[in-house]
Amino acid sequence: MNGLDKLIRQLRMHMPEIHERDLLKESIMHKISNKNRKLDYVFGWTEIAWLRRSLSIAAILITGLFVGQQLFLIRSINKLEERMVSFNTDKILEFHRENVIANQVIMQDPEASILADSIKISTDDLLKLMREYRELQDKYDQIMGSKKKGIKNHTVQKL
Amino acid sequence: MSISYNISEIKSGNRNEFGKLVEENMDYIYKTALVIMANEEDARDIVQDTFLNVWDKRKAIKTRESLRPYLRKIAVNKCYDQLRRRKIRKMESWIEDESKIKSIISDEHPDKKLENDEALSLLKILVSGLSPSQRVVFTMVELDEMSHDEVSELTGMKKTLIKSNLRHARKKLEEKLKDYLS
Repeated sequence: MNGLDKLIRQLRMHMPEIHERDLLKESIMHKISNKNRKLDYVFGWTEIAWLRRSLSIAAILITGLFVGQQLFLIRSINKLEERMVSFNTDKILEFHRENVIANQVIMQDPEASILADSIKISTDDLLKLMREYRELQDKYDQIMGSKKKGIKNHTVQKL
Repeated sequence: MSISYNISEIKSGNRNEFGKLVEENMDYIYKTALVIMANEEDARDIVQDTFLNVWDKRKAIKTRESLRPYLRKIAVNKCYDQLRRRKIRKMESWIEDESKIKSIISDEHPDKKLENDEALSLLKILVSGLSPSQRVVFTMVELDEMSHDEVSELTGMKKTLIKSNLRHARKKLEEKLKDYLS
């Protein structure tokens, strides 16, 4: 047996004993009690069956409500998008038509603005003019239409 | 020391029964931790952590017989983790106790009873300077007299690794103590 083995044997025979054993045990039990108290405070409610069940049901209902709401919102957004497309198309077409007419008027006589008795007009004013002209045209058509109707009615009465 | 306690009571959270379990196994776990850590404070911390861990996982306790190996495994793993975390820490200065070492090592009274502090000093001499795995293997095989199979089961190390760790640990110690052991 060499020196190292002698040392190991000596140590094996006389292992250090635990100091203040009761204090250590007490500290372990104290920590366990504290841990339990903390757990009770935080998760204690999970032990109550009716509360656990009703909270589960509430969670399911809330989830269902959320999914339903999301579906409803998605559908509403889709509808709005459709509306926006049709509205915008009309606007764009109208704007485009007015521009075309305005350009036609300008192109008819490009040198008109330099004549002595001519007036200079901006594109916006021209568009406004065109719009008003169209409104007048519409009103005229309406009046003419109602007049024709009136003549028709008068003839029918005479007959 | 054999104390009777009811495992099903422990599983259901009875602290008094758990106290009996602590009472029965505390010395055993303390010794396991002490030989590896070679420090009383560290060993006490390991004992506390081990029992707190068992309390948290009390529902996994199967039988009384399986409890000791389970406790030991937790304690050894905790020691190993702690040693690895302190890898860079300086080797404990055991040379300060040179005179004490000489008296312990001297052949005058080879079987004389060691006092607690003498035993602790000797333990420190033996394990300081060893790597965490060498320390765990050396203390388990040489001081706890465990077989290589048991150490392998407990630590998950392969037998070849256990053998090489043990060989290196012994070589380091013989080198370190050659002036005192001659």
